[in-house]
Amino acid sequence: MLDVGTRRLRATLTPQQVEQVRRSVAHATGRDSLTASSPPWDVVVRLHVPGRPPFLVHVVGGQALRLNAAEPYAARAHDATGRRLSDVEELAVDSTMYDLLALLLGPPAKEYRTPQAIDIGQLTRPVPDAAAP
Amino acid sequence: MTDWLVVQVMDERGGAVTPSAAALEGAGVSHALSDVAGQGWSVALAGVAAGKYQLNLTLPQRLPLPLAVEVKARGAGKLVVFRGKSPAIATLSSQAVTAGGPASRTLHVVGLKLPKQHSEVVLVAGWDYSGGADNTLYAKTWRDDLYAGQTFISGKAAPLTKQIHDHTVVSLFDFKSGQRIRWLKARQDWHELDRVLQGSVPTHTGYYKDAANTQKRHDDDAISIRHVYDYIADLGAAAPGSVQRFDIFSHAWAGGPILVDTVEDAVFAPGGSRSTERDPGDKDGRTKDFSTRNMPRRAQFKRAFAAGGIAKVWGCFATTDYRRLVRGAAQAPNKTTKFKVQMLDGSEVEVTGQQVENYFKNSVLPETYMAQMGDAVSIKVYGAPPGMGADLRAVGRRNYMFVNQSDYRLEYRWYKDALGLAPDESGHFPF
Repeated sequence: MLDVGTRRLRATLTPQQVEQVRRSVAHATGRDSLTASSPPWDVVVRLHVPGRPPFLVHVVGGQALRLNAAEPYAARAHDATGRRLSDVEELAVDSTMYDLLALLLGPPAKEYRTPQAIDIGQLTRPVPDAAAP
Repeated sequence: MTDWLVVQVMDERGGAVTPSAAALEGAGVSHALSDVAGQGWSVALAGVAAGKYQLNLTLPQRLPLPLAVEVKARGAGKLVVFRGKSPAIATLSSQAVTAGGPASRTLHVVGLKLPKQHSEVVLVAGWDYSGGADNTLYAKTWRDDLYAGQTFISGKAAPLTKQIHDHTVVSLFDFKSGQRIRWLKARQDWHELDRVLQGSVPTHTGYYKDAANTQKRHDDDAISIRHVYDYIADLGAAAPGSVQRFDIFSHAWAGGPILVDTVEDAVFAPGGSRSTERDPGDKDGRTKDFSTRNMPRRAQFKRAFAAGGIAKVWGCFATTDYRRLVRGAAQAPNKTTKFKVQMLDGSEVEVTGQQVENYFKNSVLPETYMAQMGDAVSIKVYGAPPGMGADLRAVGRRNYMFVNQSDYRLEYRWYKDALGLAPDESGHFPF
């Protein structure tokens, strides 16, 4: 995992984590539309696939990896006018990579966070029985 | 023969509207117009140097109107023209008054037709610090659509309520340049009224992840959401009921629009001893902005909006935990079966669809920036549904920000079934 600003190595995934990520590619659960969002973290992940040169991906939201062939360190998917860049591709995945990065790097950019920690008590409060008097 | 600039303003019924003040204002000079008998509000151009001016008119029930004009030399005399495109509400004519001898005059008459009720649309374009999008383009496309009464936001033409008319002033706060730009509709394109730097310096646009840059953006006396609030409050004081729309095109999060991505000082941030107060250096919108403490002119802010006025935060609401809860609830077989959701902090919660529904209804939605503004102002405020990101799209020369209803089909279905919320043409819904 490389820092976008300095391009220095920040962390390396373990073989087990790499295997989790590999499996996640086949388990996309939904799509995110996040071309107007900041990336969750200022990092790219360098992936090594046998038989191919290493390539860089941005983790975009919870469920997508973005590849920018022309500018690998640039997370943007559009030009200033909103026109999709032709060198950008997105791959739908499950949330494995996102959760791994959250574990390694801490909370993502604030677009993805709640303003304060979710009040679990409020969320799991028992639902009143509608039939009760 | 002497040249005079004359201003005549009429309302929608043809009644004369009398300015309380009028002046030609240029770099360091001001030439006041006065009410000349039989001629109306006028100034002799002999004493006015050729050059660029604002023709500032103070009219009843509106903020001063600054028309962009130029005084030009013509032969031995002078005339006045509009700079750029001429406003559609204006006419320019020259009339020779031949009383004979030295009293002969040429009157260069600026005629304006303005309804008594002022109308204004306020737009905000945040700085896209991470993606490089020009958010002024999205604001300008929306301005053009609101004038045309038609939008291409879905990719094809669809009718839209026309909310900008020839007399509507459109104000755009551009957080990248730090300027407020105002327009009136021209016959073609737009007449730029003025362009005014907010604060004393432009936004510092150094790399957004650099802490020193973030701090400078916080500390600089530069454009802030408070300039926007103050402008709307000014409208509320001078022209109650004038604001038809207040649209913000920017990054956004659950806590409000992110205009330059400032970080609150610790004392003002959640958990700080003054967390309910706005940080004076903060430039972004916050959910706490609408308390009377943070918005002392809240009554004027509220009065600015027209009956049926609308505000809209166009950017993302991509909160990961909210999206996971919504997807979990949408995929559950019924409202009472428990399912597990992994939260961003690593915890796992076990909830039912009914609990998620109650949580969104009672906690998530009411605590948003949109709901807080709506409560304070009593208008409909739209935003992206919690959990969803915003997309950008170019349709020909038009540029749109929207929420992709195809990608978020499952989530939209849940919001409609569980909370009765249906999206508008751009995928946003009212809070």
